[in-house]
Amino acid sequence: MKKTPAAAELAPFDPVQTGFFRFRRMGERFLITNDFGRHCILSEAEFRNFSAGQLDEASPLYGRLAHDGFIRNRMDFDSQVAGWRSRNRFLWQGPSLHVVVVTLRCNHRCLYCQSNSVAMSNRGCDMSLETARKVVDRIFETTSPAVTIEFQGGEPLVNWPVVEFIVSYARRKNREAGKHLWINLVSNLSLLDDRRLDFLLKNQVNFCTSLDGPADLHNKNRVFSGGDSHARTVGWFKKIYRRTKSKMFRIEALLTVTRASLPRHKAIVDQYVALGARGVFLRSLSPLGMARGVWDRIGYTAEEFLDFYRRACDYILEVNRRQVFFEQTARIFLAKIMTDEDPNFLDLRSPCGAGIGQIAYNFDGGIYSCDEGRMFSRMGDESFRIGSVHEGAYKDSVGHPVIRAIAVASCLDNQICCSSCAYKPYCGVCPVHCYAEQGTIMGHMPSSTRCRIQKGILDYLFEKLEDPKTERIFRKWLKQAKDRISYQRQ
Amino acid sequence: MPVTTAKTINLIVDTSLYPLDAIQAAAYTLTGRAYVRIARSGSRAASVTLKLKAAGGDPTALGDEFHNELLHECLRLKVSHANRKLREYIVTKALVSAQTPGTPPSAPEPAAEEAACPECAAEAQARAPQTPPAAPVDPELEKEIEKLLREIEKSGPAQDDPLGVAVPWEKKYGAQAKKAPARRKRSAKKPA
Repeated sequence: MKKTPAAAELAPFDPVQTGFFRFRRMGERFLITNDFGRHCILSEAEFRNFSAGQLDEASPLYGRLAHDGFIRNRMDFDSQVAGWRSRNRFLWQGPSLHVVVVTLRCNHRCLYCQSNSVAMSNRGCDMSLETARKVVDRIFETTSPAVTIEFQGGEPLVNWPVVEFIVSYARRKNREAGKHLWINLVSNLSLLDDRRLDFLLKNQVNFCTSLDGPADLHNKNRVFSGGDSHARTVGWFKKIYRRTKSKMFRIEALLTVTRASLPRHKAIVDQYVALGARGVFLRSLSPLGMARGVWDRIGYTAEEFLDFYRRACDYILEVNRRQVFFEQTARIFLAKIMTDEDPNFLDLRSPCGAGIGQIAYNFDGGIYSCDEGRMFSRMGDESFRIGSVHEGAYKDSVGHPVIRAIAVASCLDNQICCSSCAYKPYCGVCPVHCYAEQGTIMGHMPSSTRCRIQKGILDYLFEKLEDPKTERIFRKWLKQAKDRISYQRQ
Repeated sequence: MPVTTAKTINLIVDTSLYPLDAIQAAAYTLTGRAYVRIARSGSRAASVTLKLKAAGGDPTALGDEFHNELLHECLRLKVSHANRKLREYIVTKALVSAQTPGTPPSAPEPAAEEAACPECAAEAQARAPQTPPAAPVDPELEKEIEKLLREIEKSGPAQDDPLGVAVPWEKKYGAQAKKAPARRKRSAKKPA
């Protein structure tokens, strides 16, 4: 039988009273959002009256909508302009995240490795000291007043002399530049020792490692010929956690969800809680690198991931009855939904961070739009290469036609479905991911796995936000984020 | 009446009721699941053919979904057209004021006269779904937007890089570098 459109779908529209809004049906209710990131969940009747400009002006709902910029003839322009500027301030900053791949060698063979790392014997894939110096010099040309240097690989600790050099040289160079410098080491930690740890802590380096859950799951995903990867990761995590407990630089762990993780949500969360972690980052697989070749074994559909995500988050909310413990994707979205500050997560902004928020430097000095773009190079596709530290200038790279094309492709106003999506103020597209999945940087959202996952997560969060108890928990998660951001390294 | 086969449904949409932009947008949302063909059907109608990509789907349900989405898209078009100038004004003002931190340009608030705009009143009365309403025109607002757009064009060292993103740090700030404002960026960490 043919469905009859609900009355709300036929809502009349008053162009005098009703300001700009996007909307999305949530069962019997409607979510509305606007360009300032403000939102409101309305019943069908409220939605109809709002759209028709027939809300009671004395009602609290009208007051709230007017305050949030939904009522056209009650707009506070100065406030809305300031809000828009605040939420988009990354547009004026330039590249702040600089991913440095000091080697492609790695002592692990992870099933999902995005980087297509090479064997330990392949020394030709290490960055030289000369290239490292040129990389740091190029990094300090950025217009951004804050710089994060992030060591990636391969396993960065394999090329320790270059890590040590870059840390020291960058700190020394920054005494002149006066930027806010952060250094992150993304490592499996298996090659760490006490001398290296002392040096890294003395230089206030943040650590980020991979932990895929309990030992059997972690070791299944992260194959390590040198022994028990899980035991080494957990051992060093605890040690670094203890030594950085009173510091603002610290250790964090990331989870990559494979098919084997899907039924293990409780065990994964319990592992992170037991380690004393502040939260967990439930990240879906990307179809890049080795993951692409074994997708049939380790991959899953968007719906399967979302089912896992909802179960895991429900369990995390149970954990929050005892202690504050967050899910990182949710926290990023919630910061955008519940505050006027954008956390500037580079994959979730419009345009995305490629070239204008981050730059990746390969071991040979090749410069790429982003780390994902650099990973394509490992797959024999140089589409995202924007220069080299050995030739050309900073301006040539950030003004490269590839960067312009990515900026156009990732500007949500240019995306047919995204521009009218209620989740536009909170979301972002990754042209490199679109290229990997669909063969075009513009992407096709109706068939995009990533789009379905983002929408599913946001559906879940807005559903939970309707419960006042859960909203209070979410606010605690954001308070933790604020504490962290308020710290500025000297 | 829709014409349906096992995988295909053909719908005739009255273009005097539904704008072509809305028809195209509604059809596009289904392109993940269906192949779409839109063609003219006489002078006042469009023919929309939806062919399921996968077997086992229900083309009639897909047609119903298209009709509901069509209503959504009509509303989106009206909202978007009616507020276009206002949104451009806000974004332009934000962009211009951000180029000279601390001194946002003063500009009269637009829309003071919009409520009395004859086009708006006519639109509010009619609320007809045929075509999206034209954006209410306010001469003051028009002038202000034009002025702000001219300022943006003039302000950069070159139109190619109006925000100066490509200017190296030392060149941009020189001796002032140490006094630059602080802002921390979040990293995009990848698995180790």
